[in-house]
Amino acid sequence: MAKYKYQIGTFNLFDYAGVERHLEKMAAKGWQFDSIGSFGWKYKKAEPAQVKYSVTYIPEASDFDPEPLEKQKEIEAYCEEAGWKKVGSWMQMQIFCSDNPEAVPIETDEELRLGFIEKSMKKNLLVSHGLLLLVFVLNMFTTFSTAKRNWVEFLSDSHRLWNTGVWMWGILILLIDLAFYFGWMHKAKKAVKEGLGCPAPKGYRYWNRMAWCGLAVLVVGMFASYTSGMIWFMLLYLAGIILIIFGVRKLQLHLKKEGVSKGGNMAVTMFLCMFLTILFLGVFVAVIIGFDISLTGKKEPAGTILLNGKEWKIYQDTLPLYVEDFAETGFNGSSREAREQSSFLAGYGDYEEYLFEGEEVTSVKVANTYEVITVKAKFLYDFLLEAFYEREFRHSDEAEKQKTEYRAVYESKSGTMYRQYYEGLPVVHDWLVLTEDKIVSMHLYLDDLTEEQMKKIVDKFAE
Amino acid sequence: MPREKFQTLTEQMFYILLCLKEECCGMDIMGKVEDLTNGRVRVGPGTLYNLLEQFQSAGFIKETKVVGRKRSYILQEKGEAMLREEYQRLKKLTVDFENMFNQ
Repeated sequence: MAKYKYQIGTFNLFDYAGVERHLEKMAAKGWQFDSIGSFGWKYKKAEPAQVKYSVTYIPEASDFDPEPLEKQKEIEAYCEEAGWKKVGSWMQMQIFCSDNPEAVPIETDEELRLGFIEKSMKKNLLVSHGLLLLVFVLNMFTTFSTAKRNWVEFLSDSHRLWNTGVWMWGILILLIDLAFYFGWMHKAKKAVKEGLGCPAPKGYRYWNRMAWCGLAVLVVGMFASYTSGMIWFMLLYLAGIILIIFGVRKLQLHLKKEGVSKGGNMAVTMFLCMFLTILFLGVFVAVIIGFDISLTGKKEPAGTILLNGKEWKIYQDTLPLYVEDFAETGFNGSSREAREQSSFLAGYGDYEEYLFEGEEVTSVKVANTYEVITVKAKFLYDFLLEAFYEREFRHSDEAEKQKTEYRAVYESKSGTMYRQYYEGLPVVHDWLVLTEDKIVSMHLYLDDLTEEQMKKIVDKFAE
Repeated sequence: MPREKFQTLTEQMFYILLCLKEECCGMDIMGKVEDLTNGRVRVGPGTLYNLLEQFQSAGFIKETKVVGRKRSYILQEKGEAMLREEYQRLKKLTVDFENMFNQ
């Protein structure tokens, strides 16, 4: 049987009653609190016992102090006199235990206790959560200002959606944490004013567990959206980050043990944390660029052709629509390239088909380049159509937009085909197909289309 | 705790000051209060330490000697005045009660 047990702390610093009860329950199960180290809360195997735990707060105390402050030592002496033995500390929280079930609690004045909790929280939660919130919100601001330029690409990019989900969840965790604290503090102040004790922060531990599970699901989702080869690479990345966190924490504890001053420890730890993170990210990005690693997988060309003496790569990808589906071609050469991405909200495909004739190619006979937006979440249809128009006419001014219109040229149960008109005249190559779940913009370099051909195109996209 | 809170004393504050009428070691106050009140009022060590610190900075008590981590204190004029004020307030409460019920 294991001698030690580790737990990730799911308590908030202000939840003194939660910590006390939890440690008592663990002791009753035969796990006595040992310390809080780099791997979380550590428990030592012992005989199950009725041990009483009590915590107090010293706002001046810090995890960076090389040794307990004079005030801490004096309080410890008072507690010892009352039968309490110090067993550990967590930031400003000082943890004591006693074998005497009748021992007087360390704090018997709720107002005084609340004041110390408030001061400790201001030093901790508010600073750390405030800084993290700032970083997360700035990150989201950058993400959304980039997404605004091309919503179609953003909503169909699984990696970016999962990644955004992770950051958004992070923001939610921080905000709910703060709401829990302020809500509890408000209630506690009211209760103390009425002569009652501080209430227990209900539901915080459940929320905390849910928050971490949610984050784990999002991170797994993010990894799953990468290609299989990349998953290992990204796991390595995650392991690197975790290693930095544990390493820095280990160093902080080591410096503390070695008697390095609070300021010195803080400066070294923070510098090393930033330095290692930047170094690690730098190496990571350098490896991606240096080894030309693609996060979404790479495609090899099917061959090359000589076009007017210049070498061009050709592809033979699967396309949703080939020119031969609706027109007689008979050319012996082709290049068919597809770039696709898809998320649970939308799919986006950019397709190019070039047909040519002979060994010595002098010109492309037919070209069909088209983009297909597949709307998976129906409520996004109008939004994506609007985003498509905006992107299509991003270089046009208002006057030009006014002169441009799409006229329906073919309509069936399967969908509608439109042709672009500029100042009342048809634009030769530009077509738009709208089906129940697809928005297709087509630039077809072929003579005019017959109604039969339009039917074939619309039916093909409606499949 | 803000100093204006000392306008009235809690039971714990009252008994801590009362114990310091005679010079006494801070740590011994816990036992003294319990004895004095037959266990009705109990002061926790954390609360006691912090209240002594606040009383000292408010000038209610004075540190008399330090032996190792044991500090002794004694009540000062300001503290005594505070105790007497509280005593008067409590006395007034009992008088008002008697007037209402023992007319």
